[in-house]
Formats: sequence, C-alpha cells, structure tokens
Amino acid sequence: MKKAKLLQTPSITFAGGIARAVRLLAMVIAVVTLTLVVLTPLGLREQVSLSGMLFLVALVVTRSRHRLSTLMLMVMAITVSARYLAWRISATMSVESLDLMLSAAMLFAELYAFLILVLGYFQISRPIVRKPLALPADLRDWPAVDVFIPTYNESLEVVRATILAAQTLDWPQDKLHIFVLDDGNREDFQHFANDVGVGYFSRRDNRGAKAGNINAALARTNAPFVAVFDCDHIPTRSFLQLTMGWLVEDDRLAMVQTPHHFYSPDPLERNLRIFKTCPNEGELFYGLIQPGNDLWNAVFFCGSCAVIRRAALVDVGGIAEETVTEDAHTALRMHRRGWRTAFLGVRQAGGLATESLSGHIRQRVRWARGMVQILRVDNPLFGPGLTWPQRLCYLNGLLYFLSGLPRLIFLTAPLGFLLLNAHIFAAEPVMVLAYALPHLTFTLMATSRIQGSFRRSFWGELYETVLSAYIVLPTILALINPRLGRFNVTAKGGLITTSYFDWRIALPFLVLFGLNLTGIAAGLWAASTGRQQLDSVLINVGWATYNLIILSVAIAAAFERQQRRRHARIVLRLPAMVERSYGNTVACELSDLSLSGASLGHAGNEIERGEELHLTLRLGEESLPMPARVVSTKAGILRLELATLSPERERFLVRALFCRADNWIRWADERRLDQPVRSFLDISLCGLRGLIQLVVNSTTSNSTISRRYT
Amino acid sequence: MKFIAFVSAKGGTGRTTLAANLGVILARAGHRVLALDCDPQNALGTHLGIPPGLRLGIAEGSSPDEIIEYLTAQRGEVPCIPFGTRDRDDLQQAESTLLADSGWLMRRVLDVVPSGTELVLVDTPAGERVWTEHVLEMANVIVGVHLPDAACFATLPVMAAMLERQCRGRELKPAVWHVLNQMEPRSKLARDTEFLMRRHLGERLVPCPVPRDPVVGEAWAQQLPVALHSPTTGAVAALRELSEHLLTPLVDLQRHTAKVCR
Ligand SMILES: Nc1ncnc2c1ncn2[C@@H]1O[C@H](COP(=O)(O)OP(=O)(O)OP(=O)(O)O)[C@@H](O)[C@H]1O
Ligand SMILES: [Mg+2]
Repeated sequence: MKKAKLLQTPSITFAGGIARAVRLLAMVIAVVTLTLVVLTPLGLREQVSLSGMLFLVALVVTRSRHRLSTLMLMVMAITVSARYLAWRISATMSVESLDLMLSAAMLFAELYAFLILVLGYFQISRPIVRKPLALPADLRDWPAVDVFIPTYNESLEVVRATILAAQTLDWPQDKLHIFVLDDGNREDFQHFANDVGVGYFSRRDNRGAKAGNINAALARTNAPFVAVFDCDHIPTRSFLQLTMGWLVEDDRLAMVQTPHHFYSPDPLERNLRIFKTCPNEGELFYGLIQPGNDLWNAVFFCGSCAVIRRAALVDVGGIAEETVTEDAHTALRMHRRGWRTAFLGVRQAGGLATESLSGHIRQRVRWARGMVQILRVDNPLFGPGLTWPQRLCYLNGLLYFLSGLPRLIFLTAPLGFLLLNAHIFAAEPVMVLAYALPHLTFTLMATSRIQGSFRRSFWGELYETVLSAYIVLPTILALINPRLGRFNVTAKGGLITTSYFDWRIALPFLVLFGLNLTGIAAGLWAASTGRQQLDSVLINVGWATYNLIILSVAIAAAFERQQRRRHARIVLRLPAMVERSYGNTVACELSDLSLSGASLGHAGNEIERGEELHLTLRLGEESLPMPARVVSTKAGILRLELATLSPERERFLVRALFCRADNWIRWADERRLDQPVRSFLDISLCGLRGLIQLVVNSTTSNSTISRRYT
Repeated sequence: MKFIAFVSAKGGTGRTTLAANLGVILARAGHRVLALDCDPQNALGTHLGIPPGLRLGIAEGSSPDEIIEYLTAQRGEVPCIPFGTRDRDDLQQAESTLLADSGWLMRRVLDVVPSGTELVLVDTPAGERVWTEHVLEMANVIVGVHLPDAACFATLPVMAAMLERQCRGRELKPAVWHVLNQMEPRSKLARDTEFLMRRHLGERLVPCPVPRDPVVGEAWAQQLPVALHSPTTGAVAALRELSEHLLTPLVDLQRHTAKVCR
C-alpha cells in the first residue's frame, strides 16, 4: 500500500541533500523578496501602479485552474494584504486618544482577520481527496464494530430511523453491535430498542454529557472499533464498508471522519430560501477544511459520522470530558499521542439540521465556547506531540471562533468617523483607498478561488455576522475561565408551526443596522454642510452600506418560515406502483418520499382523493406495499399519506429513504463555482427581501414572538 | 434471429400471456417480432387476434406455403403462427414425427418465418413435453415463468434439471432468465416465496416481477394486448421493464442487476 503511506506522511522527502539545499535557498530568496515588497513604503502613484500590475498578473493567473495558480494567488493575496498592514501600522496610526483607541481596535480586528486568512490558506493549501480503501477479501478479517447512538432528550421519533438504519449497515451481522446510549433514561427508548433488537444503555447520572455517555458505553463494550452517530444522523448502508478500509489497513489510524450532511434546510437556508442552491455553512468545513487538514494529519473528530479505534480512545482516556466540544478535543489528544486521523469526503449519513435560528446560534455558541476552552486548557501551540502544521491547523480551528469581536468591530468601525468624528486612519483618503482596495480585492479573489463551489463570496461574512453578537461574551468568558458553562443539546426534529419574526434573536442585527443607517445619514449631512471632507465621508458611507447589506440578510434570516411537514421530504426518483383495492395496479414514478408520505407522478387518472390504496416500492430485490390514503391528485401528481407503519415497513422505508449508498452523493453536484459579483448581487437581493419583509411585518403587526415546538 | 422460449414446469403460470404481451411491447419498441405457438392448447393466437378453431398452424398438417400466405395476410402488430387445432391422433402423429426427427421443428420454422424477423417468441406446453424439448433446443433465450407460491417453488429443481439437460453439450448456451408472474406484493407468502426464489436463482431471477392485475384477464377477454387495453398499469410497466431486461446483453445485465441490488 504505497499510496496509503504517501498520503499519511505529509512531508515530501527529496532524495539528496542538494535538492534540499536548493529548496532552502529558493525559499530564503522568496522570503527576502516578499519581505522587501511588503515593507517598502511607496507614494500614491507607485502604490497604484504596483497594485495595478499585480492585479493584471492575478487576472492572468486565475485563468488557469491549476493548483499552482491557486497557490500563486494565495501568495499574492498574502503579500498585498501584508503590505497593507505594514502601511497601516507604520503610516496611519493616530496619536490622539480617541482616534488611537478606535484605530487600535480596528487594527486588532484586521490583524486577527489576516492571521485567520494566512492560517486558513496554509491549512487548505492542498486538500486531499481521499478514496475509500478496499476491505480484505476474506470476511473473517473484517473487525467487529460497535455502533453508538447517543441520545439525551430527542424524541424517539427522531431516533428510530437512525436505529433502524444502523441495523441495515452492510457488515457481518455477528460483528455488528448497535447500542442506543440513552442519557434520558426513557422507557419508550428501552422498549423500542428491545423490540427491534439493539442494545440499550442508560446511566443514573449524566456526568460528562455526551462524552461521559460514550465513555460509559465504552466501558461496557469491547469491539475494536466504535462508530458514533448522533441520534439524528442516519447512516447509509455502505458507511462501514467505505470507512473501515483505511482503519484496517493502518493500525496507527485512530479515526476516519465523514461529512455531516443535512437533508433538511438549516434555518439560514430555509429562511433565506437558499436551500440546495447555495452552499451552507458546513460545506466549506467538510468540503475543503477537513480535506485540507487531512494533508497535515490534523483531521478533527466531529462527534458523529465517524469510526474510531478503541485502542486510540483508551490511549487518551476516552472521549475528553473537560470541554463542551469533546470531539475536537479528543482528536487533539489522539494527535498528541501520535495517532493519525483521516477524512473521507463521501457523505455516508444524513441528518436533520437545527430547526430555528436561535437553536442554530445556540449550537454554534457551544462550539465556540468549547473551542475556546480547548485553547485555554489544552492549547495546541504548546504541549507535546504535535507537528507544527498540526498546531497551526488546530490553532486556526480554535481561533476561528474568536471572530465575534473582530466582526463587531468591522460592523461598527465606520461609525467612529460618521458619528464620533474619529479618524481611524490618520491618512489621506486616497492613500487609504490605494492600500485598502488592493488588499480587499486580492483577498476576495484568492478566497473566492480557493473556496470554489463550497462557499460563496460574502456569505462567510454573513455567517460570522449572525453569530458575532452571540459568541462574543461566551468566548471571552471561556477565555477568562474555561470551566464555565455546560453542554447543551441542540433541539432537532421540531416544527415551526407558524411563520414569525424572531425579534429577540434579531435585536443585535437591528441595533447595528440602525447605527449604521444613522451613521450614513449623519455623514451625508455633515458632508452636505461642509463640516466633513466628502471623500472621507464617501469611503465610510460605502463601508457602512456594505454593513447594512450584510446586516439586512442577518435580519432576513430571523424571519422563521413555517415548516409544514412533520418529516423532511427527500427527492427520490424511483419507479413505484400503486395497487388499488380491487387489485388494479397503476405504474407511477416516485418524486419524493418521507416517513409519512409520498408524491408520485402517474398517468392513470381514475384514482380519487380519499381513496385507500397500497404503495409498493422496490428496493433492489425487495418490494413492500405500504397502506396509504390519497390526499390529492392535482396536476397528475398523486400525494399519499402513509398509514401508520409496522416495524417491518418502517425499516423498509428508512432503507429506501436514507440507506442507499448513493443517497447523498450527488446532493451538491449542480453547484457552480463562486462568482464574487454574482454572489454580491445575490446577497444584496436577500437583504433587500429581508428589509421589505421587515417593513411589511411591522406594519401588519401580526408577528408573534411565541415559539412553538411540537 | 433470436428465439425466446417461455417455459414453466406447472400450467397456468402465464407463459402464453407473457409471450403475447411481450411480443406487442417489443414490436412497439421497433423490433420485428413473430409469435410462435408450440403448445397444443393453441392459446397464443387468442391473445393476438386470431380466431379460435383455426386448423392452420405449425403442427404437421399445414403446408409451409399456406402458413406464409396466412402470415402475410395478418394485420396485427405481432404476426402469429398458431399451433393449429389438432385432434388426438394428429397430435400423436406429430409427436412421433418429432421424436423420430430431431431437426423437424427447426426446419419447419425456418421454412415459414419471414426474412428480417428479429425475435421469435415461442409459447410451449407446461412440463416436460416433446414440444418443449424441441423448442428449447432452438432457443437463444429461455424464460422460466413462475408464480410466487409454494407449488412453483417446489418445481424449481425439476425445471433446473430440465434446463440443465437441454443446455448440456450445446456450443452456444442459451441465456436463461426466470420471471415471477402474478406477484401479489401484499401477500406475505408471495413476498417470502420471492425472497426464497431469489436466494435460489440469484441474478437469473429478473428484478421486476409482474404484478397480478385483473386487467390482464380483462384485456384478454376483449382480445386486446394489455399494453393497449390499459397502458398505465403497473403490470404493463413491469412487462416493459421485463422486455428491456430480456434483451440486455449479458455483460450489461450483470452490471445492471448489481446496480439495482445496491
Ligand atoms: N399478471 C397477471 N395478472 C393477472 N392475471 C394473469 C397474469 N398473468 C396471467 N394471468 C392470468 O392467468 C391465467 C393463466 O395465464 P396463461 O394462460 O398465460 O398461463 P399459461 O402458463 O400459458 O397457462 P397454460 O399452462 O394453461 O398454458 C390466465 O387467465 C391469465 O389471464
Ligand atoms: Mg398457455
């Protein structure tokens, strides 16, 4: 397995020492040149022509899709940004106290952003597209696997499908043991587990939350591998066959992580109506960052949809219980002990996204707090066992969650000038433009290029904006005292029964929006009365306007749109058959399916509303009829409501819905590459729609603040 | 030219129905098809618009010219050579001819089949009969038709032995498929039988059973092919899928079934 080895040793070894020397020399020359380029101060003319030239080069470079040209763009972007920062520090810091304070705050935010940018580029400089590795031909060499499904307070309705799906995993039945780890100690769970024939564990206390739950189960089981699925992550039948190959092959490999895929829209996707058309927040992480981490052997454990080697877990004392992001922390410990981890970018499980924006934010606040806790209690920069790339990858992963304060600074910075008349940049406005515009342009260009189809330009800013106000305090508190805070469970499977505007969650966005709007008005007023220079005003007004756009999208995201369906519908094109009560059959094409209903295209038009019939689906070689009632027959589409299912039928349906190996593979296939301009228009439109909605909503005043879950 | 023979160990499984209706579907898909009845019951023609009681047929007693002339006069979508009504003595005579001369049927068929015919769908009597044996000898594709019940499952070994004997020593082995007809998905017994048959026959059992549907009988009563009588039924959809499956070259087929099974 030569290829396997290659993948796992990140450093490319060169044959002779000569090659190494040449490489070193080239690097020294490059670094010296770049330092000179970064540090040399230039006048307006020279700065403009230098940036212009670089821009032309960049335009040529981006035409090639080669990896090298991506790397070149990265280096150029870093250089231009560093140049900006050098100028910013050396030539624009004011001495007056208010100015200096604001300027320093802004500089802090800029330096943070730059650090994250550089670390990010490093992290994903060469994403690995890992392929599944074949398992041994002899089934006897396949190891036993324990499947853990931890649950705390989710309803059985959410968890059933996961349990049933786990049972259909393609793995020798005598080597597959499924356990429901019920920290909620619920009778209905125990009954269900007994009925379908899976193991059931519960505990008297909930010490250590999810980590403690898993650790307790580890003590009661013994298979050499443990697959963990959050209770709403439904595995496909091929999950183990695709992931286990690497683990069997390499006995120092501690874990294989696969993407978390959500088949229901998250609140941003639903409320902004971008489901499936625009990559969601997680896609960058699973599409790019984890494959990037894979090169450096720094793939994080994400708590679910992963297989872990028991020996590695035992080696680090089980799942880490000290922080609320036990997953990343556990991976960090494994890396410290010299274990390897891998990422397989094939969606092999589907889950439910959080159902409301507030829930979504709560979940991320937990992540943020946990990651900052790790920064404090087990800082990856220090301590034994890690390679430098690993330290940097972890650092980026952790620092990312400190983005709250810098983001708030960016969102309020133009107000310093517009409202308080403070000068953040003690420089001529044209010089500011001459340095800042290239910096912004190059960052945009390179980032857009790198993120490709996994993230649209400006959406990252939106995601940060939505979180910013909410993670500032928890992260700062966690920085001060990492022991504060408990683990909270993210609510899933709920239903938003009426559309409403969540004023409470939108409040910070509304305040920031109001401030920026006031700032713009004040600035324009000051310019028209001649109290302020027009060019400075325009720069700041432009900036504030950009803030308004992003904030209006955040506001739009707080309009919770109604969810009508109990179960997420999954688009599934399969031939199907309907059998009417007299035995007549009708050929149909299934167009979507859920655990409670189906829509079918059909040509036979004699079927009537309210009719009772049987829907027969064929899954590979098996078929099963399911009793159903016709709810509507409009436009040649037959909508069926499935009757309560027997366990056999439910399992069959779960398999049809979630367990096919290719279930989620083609989910994001039609994604186009990012186009910054188009993306800007899209996001502006989203924001505009949000504002219109806001106006309409506050005039009709039928908004409700109540939040109802079923 | 390819011969597709429909056989079963037990009677009433649907050989005649499948042969006739697949014929119509294949003809509509653009193939040049001929239906040939080698079952003394002489029922195939009734599915394809031939009046019952006609003496003319493939069995000894009609001259090749008569048959050719009759074929050219037919207006249906699928030209059909009936077996011909024969009395007991004629049948015995015909069978002893077959027994004595193993090439008789082949020669006779080649004499009368119009040139340019791509597919000849051949109906046979149930069980091991002289006619069946001779048809199997010419067949390129053999389709075993079964019902999802215990009785049919019990005859699988008999059927396997019969096919095995037929294929032995032949240079060009015929492709053998098995079809489940009159499937009733709602019956647990039927589903269990399907499961067992699949375990037994593996990929040889085509993935799409033909459901039991009263329209099949109704269509026949009206002397119409089902595909015309009620084209939107599940039974017709299954027949269509089946027709495609029977014609897929072997290699593609294995890939296809592998995909479906995943
Ligand atoms: N898919 C089906 N759904 C409903 N009825 C069917 C179906 N297939 C066949 N039948 C009915 O079953 C009966 C037997 O069919 P058919 O005559 O084709 O079988 P066979 O195998 O040729 O019988 P035999 O042994 O008598 O020649 C007929 O009445 C036919 O209409
Ligand atoms: Mg018959």
